[in-house]
Amino acid sequence: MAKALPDPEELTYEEALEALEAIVQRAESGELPLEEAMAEHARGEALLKRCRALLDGAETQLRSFDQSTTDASDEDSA
Amino acid sequence: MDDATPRPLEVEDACSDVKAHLKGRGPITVRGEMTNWRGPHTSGHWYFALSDPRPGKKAMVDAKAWRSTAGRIGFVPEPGDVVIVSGTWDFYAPTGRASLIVDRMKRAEGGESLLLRLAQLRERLQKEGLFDPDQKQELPFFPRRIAVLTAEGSAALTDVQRTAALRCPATELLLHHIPVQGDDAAPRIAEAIAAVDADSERLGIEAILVTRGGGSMEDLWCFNDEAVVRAVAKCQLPVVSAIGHERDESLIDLVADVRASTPTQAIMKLLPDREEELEMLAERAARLQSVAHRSIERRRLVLQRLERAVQAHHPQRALAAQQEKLVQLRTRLRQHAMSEVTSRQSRLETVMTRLRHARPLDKAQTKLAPLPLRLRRAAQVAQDRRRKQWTSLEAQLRVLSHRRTLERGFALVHGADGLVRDPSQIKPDERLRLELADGDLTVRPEVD
Repeated sequence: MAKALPDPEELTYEEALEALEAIVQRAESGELPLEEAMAEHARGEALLKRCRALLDGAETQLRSFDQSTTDASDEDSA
Repeated sequence: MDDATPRPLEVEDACSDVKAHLKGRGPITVRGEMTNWRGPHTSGHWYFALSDPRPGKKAMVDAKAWRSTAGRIGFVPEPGDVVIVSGTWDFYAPTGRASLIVDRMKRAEGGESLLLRLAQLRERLQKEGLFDPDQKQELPFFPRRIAVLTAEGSAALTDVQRTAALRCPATELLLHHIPVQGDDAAPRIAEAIAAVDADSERLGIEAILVTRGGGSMEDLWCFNDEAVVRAVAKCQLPVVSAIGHERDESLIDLVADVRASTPTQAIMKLLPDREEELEMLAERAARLQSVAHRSIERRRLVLQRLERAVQAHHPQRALAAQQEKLVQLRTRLRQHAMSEVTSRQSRLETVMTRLRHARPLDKAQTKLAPLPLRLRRAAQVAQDRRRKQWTSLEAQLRVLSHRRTLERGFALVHGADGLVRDPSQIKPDERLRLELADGDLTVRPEVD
């Protein structure tokens, strides 16, 4: 990994997911040197964390939408 | 009512009177255009009307051909065909209508019908592209104000108003009364359409509805007028038409942006249904939510799969494998080192063994080992021999010894300077020791 990789925290969900897929594929495809495997794993964990955070955020946001929609229709029917 | 007045006829009798008169007329032959002709009835009888095909003429008679006659005619006419029929009059009392019972029918030569002229106009306008689908405008989803062009007090208007009030009370209907039949209807309709369209911005109108209820083809004829069709084609606003019933099709329906089969349907197409929209909105909101939730759920599953994959390829495994490899390597290394040492040791031992075997001292020692014994033995032998010699010599000595002499009574005189053989050797006062056979004796000689 010669080139500097982007900070997971700056990636979109899809970018992070793609990067994560790539890491898993590399891990599946064969033996990486230990240092590389460690670095990849650390990055994988960071990407996972990023993805999870984005999903959780989206879900929270969705819940608040759901809430506001329900409130609005409650008002409407009232 | 005085006596001179004849007794009134009952309606039935009056009908019989008409019928008798018509029958008396005998067979007649009429030229006319097939009108209101929808093909043979399921019974096999033909019901149609004949209208006067001459321009400007508005006259029509009902006609029937019974199944047996229809089968003999030899062709099935098309609407608009100009035919010559022969038959007799009949009068049907329940409806009070006279009709021609057709006995024979043939096509008239060269008769230009109303419908033929309509077909020609339609073809011409179509070629101009007035009816092209790409000329059609979309209707506004929720128009605030609509111009409704129809006859004052008509059933069509009532339908439109009632439906609009139910469906979307927020939309305002701007009524423009127009004549919907008659000779002067067409130009006035065309004019009204153009006027509303020209003023639409000021009036805040977003669409135009032109409608009238059902009627005969002749009644609806003004909506086939070229001026009306062109007025709709030029219209900037979207136009919805609903003329007559489902089966009636006027040229205005072809040029309009949307055609509806009835006035009620026309206003329904123009206005969103509040309840329906709200319901749809709620349904869409629910779908949106479920789609959004599902999409997150789907992503979560993907993420979980990846997470498991990441764990499955945890470097811990690689680490353990590397550590095991290290252990193996160390073991091998030690084994190798061990064997190196061992081989060196054994080589050393071999050398030492050889060295030991080859040690010259050892050989010498080995050779030397019996030597002392031999030496001792030899010494012993010599000793023994000497002892024996000694013993014999002793015996000889004993024989020769002075002691024998002493035993015979002789004495040896020892002075200070040894044996005294001469008295002159003796010094005054010198003590002398006499050696006797069984002991010594000290004496002081007396010198004379």
